[in-house]
Amino acid sequence: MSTIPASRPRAPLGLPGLPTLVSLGCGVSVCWLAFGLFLLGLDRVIHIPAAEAACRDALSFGFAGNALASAAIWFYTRRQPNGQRPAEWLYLTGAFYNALLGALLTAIFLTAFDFLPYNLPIVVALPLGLGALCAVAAASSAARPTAAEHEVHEQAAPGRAEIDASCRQVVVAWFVSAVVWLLFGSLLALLASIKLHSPYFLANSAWLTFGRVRPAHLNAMTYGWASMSGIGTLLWLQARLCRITLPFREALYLVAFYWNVALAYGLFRILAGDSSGVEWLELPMYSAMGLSLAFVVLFLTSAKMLLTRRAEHLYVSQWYLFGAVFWFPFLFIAANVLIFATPVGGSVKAVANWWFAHNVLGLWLTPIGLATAYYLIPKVLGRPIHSYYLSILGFWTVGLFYNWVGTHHLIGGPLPAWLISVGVVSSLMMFIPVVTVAVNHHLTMVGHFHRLRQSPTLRFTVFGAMSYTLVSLQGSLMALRTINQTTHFTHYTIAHAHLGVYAFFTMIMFGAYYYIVPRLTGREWWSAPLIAVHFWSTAIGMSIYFVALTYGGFMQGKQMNDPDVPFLRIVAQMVPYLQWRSVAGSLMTVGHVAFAFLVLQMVRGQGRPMPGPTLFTGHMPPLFAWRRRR
Amino acid sequence: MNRPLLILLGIMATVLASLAGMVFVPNWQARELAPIRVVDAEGATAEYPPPLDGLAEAPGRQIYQSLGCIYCHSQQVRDAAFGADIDRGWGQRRSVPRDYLGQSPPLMGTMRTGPDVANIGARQPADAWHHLHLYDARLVSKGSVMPPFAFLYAVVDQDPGERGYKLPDRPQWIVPSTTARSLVAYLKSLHQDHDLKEVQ
Repeated sequence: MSTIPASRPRAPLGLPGLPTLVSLGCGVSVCWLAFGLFLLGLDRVIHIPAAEAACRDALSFGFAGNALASAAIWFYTRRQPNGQRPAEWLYLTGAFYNALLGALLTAIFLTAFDFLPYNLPIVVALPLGLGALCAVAAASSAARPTAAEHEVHEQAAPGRAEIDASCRQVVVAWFVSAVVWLLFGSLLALLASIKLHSPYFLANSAWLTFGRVRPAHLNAMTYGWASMSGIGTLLWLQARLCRITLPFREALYLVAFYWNVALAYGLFRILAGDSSGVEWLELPMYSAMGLSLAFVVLFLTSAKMLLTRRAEHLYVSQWYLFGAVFWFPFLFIAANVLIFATPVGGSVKAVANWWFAHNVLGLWLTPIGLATAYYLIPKVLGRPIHSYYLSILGFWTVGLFYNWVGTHHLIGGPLPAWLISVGVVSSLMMFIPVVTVAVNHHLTMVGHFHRLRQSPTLRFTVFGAMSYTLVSLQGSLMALRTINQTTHFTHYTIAHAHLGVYAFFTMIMFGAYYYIVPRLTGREWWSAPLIAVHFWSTAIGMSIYFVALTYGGFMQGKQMNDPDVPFLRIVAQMVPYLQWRSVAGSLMTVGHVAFAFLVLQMVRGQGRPMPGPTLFTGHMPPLFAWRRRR
Repeated sequence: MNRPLLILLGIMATVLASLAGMVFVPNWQARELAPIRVVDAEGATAEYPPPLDGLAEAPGRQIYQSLGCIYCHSQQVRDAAFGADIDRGWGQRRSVPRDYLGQSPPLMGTMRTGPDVANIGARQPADAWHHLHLYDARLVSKGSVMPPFAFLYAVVDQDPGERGYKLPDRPQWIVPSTTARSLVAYLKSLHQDHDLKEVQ
């Protein structure tokens, strides 16, 4: 690890060095442990429900959080001479975090005694505090450098190879975990799909009943595959675009491990029957809060990267990535607190639920997917993105409109009409960012579509980018009350959801793997035909999936709105479409296995030696070319 | 767009605005919603929505949640002018926020692979129907794709009397476990049958 000379002098706040910080962190952590055990005792002796909740938080956030943070800092700094690194903002983070936790516990006690309707202070304090933290971090670095100073600063930036090497272990850890979750999620998906047309399939155990396998599938795919592959991509992209080596490597590596454990335990509990019963938030509270902590580390890493970057210009991908790492942790923590830690029940909780759930796609997967497409398409083509100003418009309108669309999942439901209307209007406003991004990507691609024949990265990415346009326009239209009247409550919505998370996001992530993994491992992909198998089985599988369920779901909705059609006839008529879904799912799983095998070969060091990327051959579609050679 | 702090302020503003608009304002609007006292035909007063009975109904709700019933069954009746929910007999009136008071989390659902169950307690009042349907839905609903919950039942060859229910096609009886009994108690508690003033 080479140390980069600090070109900007820092104004120290006069705090002691990092070893003191680590000891302090451990000390605080032990204090929280003691306090947590005290609360546990309190709960056992005099039964206060608040004490139990507070104890759980003190142990998980206070004890585990501080211990993990201290361990990460220790790993990170153990080779650094004392005083080499700015420690101020780490002190401030620690102080802020523990203050926040204190506020949380206080609020839990207060809500138990009905002083507050819900934990308003926390959800407000959290973003404000994080913002203030960033402001302090920014202020603690010296004044903005002049142009001449900046040039010197940029020239000292590490080269691409050095950046890739710094990302290697961390990003591979996130990527490989994601692929394992992809395979596990596919297995659950197949189980759930088959059960829906053959109800006696593996029906003898509560663990494998449809109602548990389905949420386990959703969470494995969302928080396992999509989030972990997205985070790996995000870290690499941000390091490349900031032109710095990846900071906090040991911490991020540990967090990947920690994430896997928290998620695996959460899924195990869902299968065991401990699901929270809230769509997209099924992970039990302890598992979800574990993930929240990892999100906070991710936000801090991103902030650190942006603040210490060596490239003056911020590329459009960086805005999206920074947006994602703030938006999603905020939403995730706020939704968990609002839904599970507040005593107020009722239909407003459904609003909070869908406010969050739609934003999993809207403000987490979408920005990461778009950032990746914004990077990969120009990079593979070797030409700049069409318009900088369209990118600005696209970014801010996504941020502005996407987080209001959630109530379109509750059209016709027991809610105030204005709330539904807000969701419908915002969904239609989404036309602006979607068309903007579509035009920008298309005009970058135009005249270069023949490159799709050769480059696996480009083919997956462009498939994903086109699906983004399709799924978003479809989604906006589905929010119209007349259309929603038919499509709501049917498999049409399921097809739409898969078009978003699979055809858009997952395909772009496949593209990102094909671009990034060779740069991390120094090897090229092992087999072009196998990549072709991966592409065609997933693309065809997804198309069958979409067509079957869209058509079937639409018919289902039409018949459901006709009271003369008996309900069981609708059920019977859906069965063939559900069987097609199992066929489509099997095809997609074949693609995933091919992909997993390719990734395995790469991390085993069995890829082709460089140079030159693995491309599909010639002018024929690759599957045909392969067959002709045989 | 080269200053992270500026971007951060912008992205905070967007998400805080939606938090305020989509979470805090509805919460504030719902603050005065409270259960009402209703008087039935015999002159007895009761509370609507009725609180779940802690012995069977509340645990039954946990089981409904744990077995993931929500992924195929909604619990919300749409207005007569919007869809055919009322024509299908899934309810006598549309659902309103008051029906969900105190439910945490509300189990409204977003999918109808199976029919809506907001009023299943009123539509199917018999224990036997529920138990046979849960044991194997095809016994009472031909062509259903609902998973069998046979693991909640014991099958016996001797008539167990009050505790059991006879299977229609063979000389066997099913005896529900406590879990199955709680689940059925919860299902039977589901009805949104009071004419509230906000839906008249």
